[in-house]
Amino acid sequence: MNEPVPVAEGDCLSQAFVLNRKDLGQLIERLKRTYERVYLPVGDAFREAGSIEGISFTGARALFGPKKYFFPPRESLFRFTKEGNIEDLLKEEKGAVIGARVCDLKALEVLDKYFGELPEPFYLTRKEGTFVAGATCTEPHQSCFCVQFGGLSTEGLKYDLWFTDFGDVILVETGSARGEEVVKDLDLLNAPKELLYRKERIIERVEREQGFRRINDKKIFDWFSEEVTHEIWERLAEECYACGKCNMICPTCHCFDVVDMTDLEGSGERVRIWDACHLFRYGLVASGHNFRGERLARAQYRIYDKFYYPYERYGIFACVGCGRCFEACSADIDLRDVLKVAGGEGS
Amino acid sequence: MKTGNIYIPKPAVIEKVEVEEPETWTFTLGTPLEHTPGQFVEISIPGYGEAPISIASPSGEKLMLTVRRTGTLTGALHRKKVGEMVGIRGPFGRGWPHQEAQGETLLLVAGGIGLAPVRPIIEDAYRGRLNYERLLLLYGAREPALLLYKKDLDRWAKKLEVFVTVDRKNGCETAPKVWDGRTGVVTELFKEVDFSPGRTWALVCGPPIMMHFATKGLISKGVPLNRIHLSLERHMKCGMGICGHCQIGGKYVCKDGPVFSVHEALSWREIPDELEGVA
Repeated sequence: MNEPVPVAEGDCLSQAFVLNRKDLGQLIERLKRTYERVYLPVGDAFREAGSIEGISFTGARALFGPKKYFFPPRESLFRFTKEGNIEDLLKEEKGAVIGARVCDLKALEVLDKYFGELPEPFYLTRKEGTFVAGATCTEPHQSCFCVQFGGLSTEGLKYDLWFTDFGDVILVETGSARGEEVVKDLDLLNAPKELLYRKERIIERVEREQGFRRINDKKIFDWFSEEVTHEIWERLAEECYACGKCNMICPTCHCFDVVDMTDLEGSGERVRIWDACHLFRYGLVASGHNFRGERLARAQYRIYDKFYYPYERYGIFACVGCGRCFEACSADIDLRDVLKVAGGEGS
Repeated sequence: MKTGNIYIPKPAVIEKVEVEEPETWTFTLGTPLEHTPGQFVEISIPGYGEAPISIASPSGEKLMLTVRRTGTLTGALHRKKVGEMVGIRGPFGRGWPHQEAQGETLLLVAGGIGLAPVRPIIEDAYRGRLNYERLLLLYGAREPALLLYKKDLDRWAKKLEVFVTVDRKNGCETAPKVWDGRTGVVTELFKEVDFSPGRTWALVCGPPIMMHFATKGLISKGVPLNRIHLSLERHMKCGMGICGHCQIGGKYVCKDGPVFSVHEALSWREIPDELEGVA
C-alpha cells in the first residue's frame, strides 16, 4: 500500500485514471453539481458527504450498506388530505453513491430483479437517477465470504466509476459515459498499468484471506431442494430470537409494510416501512390465523428466500456473501454454517 | 421502465350497502370492473390503509365487495355510508380455472365468506354465460345467520345444484327464524353428492381448516390434484408481488395466485397450512 506510485508515462490505460487524494474534494464537488447529493461510507454507514476529512475507500464494506438510499427504511408514497385530495410523491431524484463495494452492487442487481419484475417505480426511479462509484475492498472483514459468490471481480457489474484507494492516490476506472464525463471534467491523468496490477494483487490477497472457495450453485440449490427437514433447521430455530435484525441489515431483503400516518385532522401520508419476515406478526392475517407462527418456519423461510426461491424464480441467489447478517445477529447465527452443510462440508 | 405511481388508488363511490349479517356487509361501488373471477382488489381509505378483498360481482359489472369487519380498514369501511368515497387498486392476481372447466362438472366448495370469490362464476353460470355439464355448490357456514347472499342462494337453486349446510342451528331451532336445512360441516355434503371425479373441477375457498378437510375429502373422492384449486388467504399488502407479506414457498399469493392447484402447492418447499398432511 505504501509503495510509491509510478508516474504516468507511455504504458498507460485509456479507461483508468489517477486521482490525487487531495483532489477528492474536487471530485465530490463535481458530482454534487450534477447529482446534488453524494453519499459515501463514513464509519459504519453510508452518509451524505460533508467534509472529506477522513474519507477513505480502504477496508471492507460498511456495516450498513447503501440499500437504504435506493430503498429507504421509510418512504412516503403519496399524501392525502381529509377532503380526499391526493398528491403523488413519486418524483425524479438525483444522487450519487460512492464507495459501494462489489457485494453492495451485486445486491442492487438482486433488487433490480425483484423491483424490476413489477416494475416498481420508486426504486427504479432512484436507481436510474443515481450515479454509482464502487470501490475495491482492501481488507476483508472477518464475516466476509463473498468469495463463495464470485469474490471481488467487477466483471459484468454496472457502475459509473470504480475506485481503488492506494492512500496518496486513488485509481479511478470508468464504467459508463457519465463516469467518463466526470473524469474528463476533472482532467485526470491516465493511470499506469502498474496500478492495475497492484489492484489485482490486493484483490487476490483479500480473497485469499477470506479463506473460502466459490460455491457450486447447482449443488447448493439441490441441497435446499431436498433438505427441507434437515436437523440444522431445528437448531437454527432454537438459537434464533426472531428479532429481524438480519432482515434489516441484509442488502437484498426488501419486504415492506404499508401504513397510513395521519395528523389529528385526518390528513397524512401513505408510507412504506421496511418489514422483516422473522417477526411474529409477519404472516398474520385479519382472521387471526398466523401462517408462519412457528419460529422454525420463519428462520427457514428467510434462508430459503436467499438460496432456493430466487434461484427458482430468477436463477440467482439473493445472498452476496457480505456477512452482515451474522455480524448483526444477537444469537451469533452464522449463515456460513448452513452453506457448509449445504455444500457437503460439515453437519 | 417508467411507470406511474402504482400505489395511488382510484376513487370509487359507494352506491349500495347490504347487511349480510351484522359483521359482514356487501358494498356495491359505482365503478364497473373487468376482471377474472377469483381476482381481488385492494380497497383503500386514507388514514386507515388498505385491505385485499375478493371480487364478488361478475366481470364488467359494478364492483361488489363482501367485507367482514376484522381490522382497521374493514372497521373504517363499515362506518362508511352510501355516497361516500373509497379507493380501489386492482384487479390483482390469477383467478379460477373456470374457463377450462366449461363442458365438465364444476364443484364449488365454499365456507363462510369464502362464497364471495366464487360468486362471479355462479352468477355467470346461472345466466348462461358459462356452461358446465353440472354446477354443484356446496356451501357451509357456522350458523344460519352467517350465510351470505341468502336470496341469491334461493335463486341459484332453481337452475344449479345448491347444497347448503350450517355447523349448528344456533338460535334458529324455533320460530321466527327456523332453520330446517342441513346441519354439519361442509365436507359432510360430500356424502350426499355424487359426481364423476375424473370429469370434475373443484374450486375451494374458505377458512384454512375448512380448505384442509375439503381438499382431503376431494382427494379421497378421487378428484385429481391438478383439478382441485384453492384460493389462499394471505395478507396481500401491496397486491403486486413486491412487499413480500403474502409469499409462500417462493410464490406471491397476490400475483402468482391467489388461486393455486393442490398439485402445484404440494410441490413447494413450504407447504401451506391448508394442505399440511392432506396427501
